[in-house]
Amino acid sequence: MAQLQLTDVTKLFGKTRVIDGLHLTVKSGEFVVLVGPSGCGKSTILRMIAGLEDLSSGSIKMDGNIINNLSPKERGVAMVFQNYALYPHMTVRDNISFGLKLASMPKDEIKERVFDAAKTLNLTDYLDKKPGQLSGGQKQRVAMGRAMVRRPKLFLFDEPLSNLDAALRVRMRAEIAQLHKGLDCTTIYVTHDQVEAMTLADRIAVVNGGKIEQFGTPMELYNAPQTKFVASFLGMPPMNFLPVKMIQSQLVPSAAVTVGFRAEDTQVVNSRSSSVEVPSNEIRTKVRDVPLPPGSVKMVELLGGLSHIHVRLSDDQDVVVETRSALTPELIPRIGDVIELTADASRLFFFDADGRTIFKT
Amino acid sequence: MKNSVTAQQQRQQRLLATLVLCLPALAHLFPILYMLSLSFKSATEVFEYPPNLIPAAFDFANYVTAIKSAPLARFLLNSLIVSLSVTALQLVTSILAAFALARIEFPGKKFFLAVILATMMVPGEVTILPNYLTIARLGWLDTYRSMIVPSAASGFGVFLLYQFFRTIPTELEEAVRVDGGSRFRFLWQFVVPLSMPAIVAFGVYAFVATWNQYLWPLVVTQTTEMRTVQIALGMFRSENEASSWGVIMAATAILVAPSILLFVATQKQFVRGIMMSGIKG
Ligand SMILES: Nc1ncnc2c1ncn2[C@@H]1O[C@H](COP(=O)(O)OP(=O)(O)O)[C@@H](O)[C@H]1O
Ligand SMILES: [Mg+2]
Repeated sequence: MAQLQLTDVTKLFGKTRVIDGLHLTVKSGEFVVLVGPSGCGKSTILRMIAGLEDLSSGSIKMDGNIINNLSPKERGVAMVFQNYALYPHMTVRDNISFGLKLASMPKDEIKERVFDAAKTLNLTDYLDKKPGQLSGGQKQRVAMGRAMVRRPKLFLFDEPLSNLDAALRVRMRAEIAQLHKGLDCTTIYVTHDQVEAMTLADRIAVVNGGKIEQFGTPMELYNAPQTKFVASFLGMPPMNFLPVKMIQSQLVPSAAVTVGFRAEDTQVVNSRSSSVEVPSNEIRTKVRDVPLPPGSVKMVELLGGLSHIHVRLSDDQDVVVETRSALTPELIPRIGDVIELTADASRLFFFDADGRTIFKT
Repeated sequence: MKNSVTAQQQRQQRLLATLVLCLPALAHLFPILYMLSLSFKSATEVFEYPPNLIPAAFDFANYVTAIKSAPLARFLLNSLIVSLSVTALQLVTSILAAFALARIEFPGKKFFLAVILATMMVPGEVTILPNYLTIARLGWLDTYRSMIVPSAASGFGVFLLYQFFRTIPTELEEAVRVDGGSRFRFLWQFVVPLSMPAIVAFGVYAFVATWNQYLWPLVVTQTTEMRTVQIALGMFRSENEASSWGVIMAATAILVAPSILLFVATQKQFVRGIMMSGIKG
């Protein structure tokens, strides 16, 4: 377990400033997720922490000591790579024990640790196989086993699940969460998948253009995003944005202000030329709700327990609204239906022209 | 049903391909078979008409004569020493240079790569004279060194392995570094075993190319004790001009055996390496 502190870290590739004055403090035992779009510099941050990439300026401290110039080995970190990076010509056993052998650990202890890791990761039957004979999920587990047995001070994951199919991804996500609980090891986990970020993290750092936009618990980021980028990045479907401001509980067009609201904070209050009756449990007190411009239905996605209705508003803006109960066939709005919507006024976010949140005073 | 039809078609196609490939294979094989055949024939049988590919009797007399009339073992040993040394040196230098070019960032890398490529465009005959003068000044004439040192590096080897090493993912090297391995360990414990087909292919190529060298060993050696196989064959032909072709063929068979055996032994890996590297011999 280690505490980690990045201070004013900058990384240049040639003249391109990939990481720009980054500050990040990770508490001992914490699970921090770096999330952001592809190319925003997440891997670069992780590789600098691992010691695989030099810093252009700034410092990285582990437990109070500067580790800028230490080799990956001296840092006591372990890393799980996106493409697993298993050693293709070695058996699973040798893959897992390679680092321990290099550290000249006694044979008995190596054997014990490999056995323990294999048991935890359900790999006992595969120890003598080569990586080429394993499935994607098994390869992923070997990569984690290789990191685990070294009992690192710091665990680094770089998009470890991005090569797996959706079902396996959900299962491995749960396994990683469980593993972390068992090991209680400081972990930094990189992903571009906001669901992984929300479900795994103690705290999430949203990275954009080489900077951290916001750092906080998943619910903090979800409920109080400090920028439009953070608001748009977390949540599925993505937050709706309209170029309007609110005057006396009415939305009026505005060039300087953007209002954001999530699909689940809207409701359908009326829809004409169709048979949609708003299900009774959808109707709440409307005192705090603001009406949105009327629109027409573009597309309906039925997801079982809930549905997403894509609506083109009269001012040519597209929004997605969510209805929480399953729609019976006769209640499904048809494409082209005119629909009236409201949004929960207490769940509106306001952003200025620079994309910063305007906090209500 | 459909499956069995395609399977049968596949078999037929493969048979056809095999038959077609047999023709050039036979064309290549014929001189060798004819050499072996002649090496067993008596002096009179050699000139029989029409010639018979299968000798009347497998008589080893020619081999005995050949071994007695020249220090064949010495020639073989010379060729073996030179070819093995050159192969070993070329492997070491090519692996190290290719690794540096493929995996390490350093200034002037593109320039060095271009220069190494350029050496492949220069025909060997061009460098014979300057190399001869260098060797002569060093006083190395008529030594093993003169045949080994000038061939210690190979532009072809560097380029072949460079292409191969580049395909090994960077993440693998990073995983090794995080596990506590040095760059050198990554080279010999990962890059080399993972590139075995290419390394074997190049090793066989280097060995055979050196074994078959004629002009350079002819220029830098003077005494019979230092002659290599290829030169000995030439000597044999001129010394035994009108005499027994059987003896000449027996000597030839002895002298080419090692390179043919080497190829047969490593053929599988050799072909795989050539195919994987996409470079044709
Ligand atoms: N070795 C490198 N040389 C030059 N540019 C690089 C190098 N590594 C990464 N980059 C650039 O840095 C940016 C961030 O890359 P990366 O950290 O891999 O992003 P992410 O992991 O968030 O997708 C990208 O624009 C990428 O092209
Ligand atoms: Mg990345």
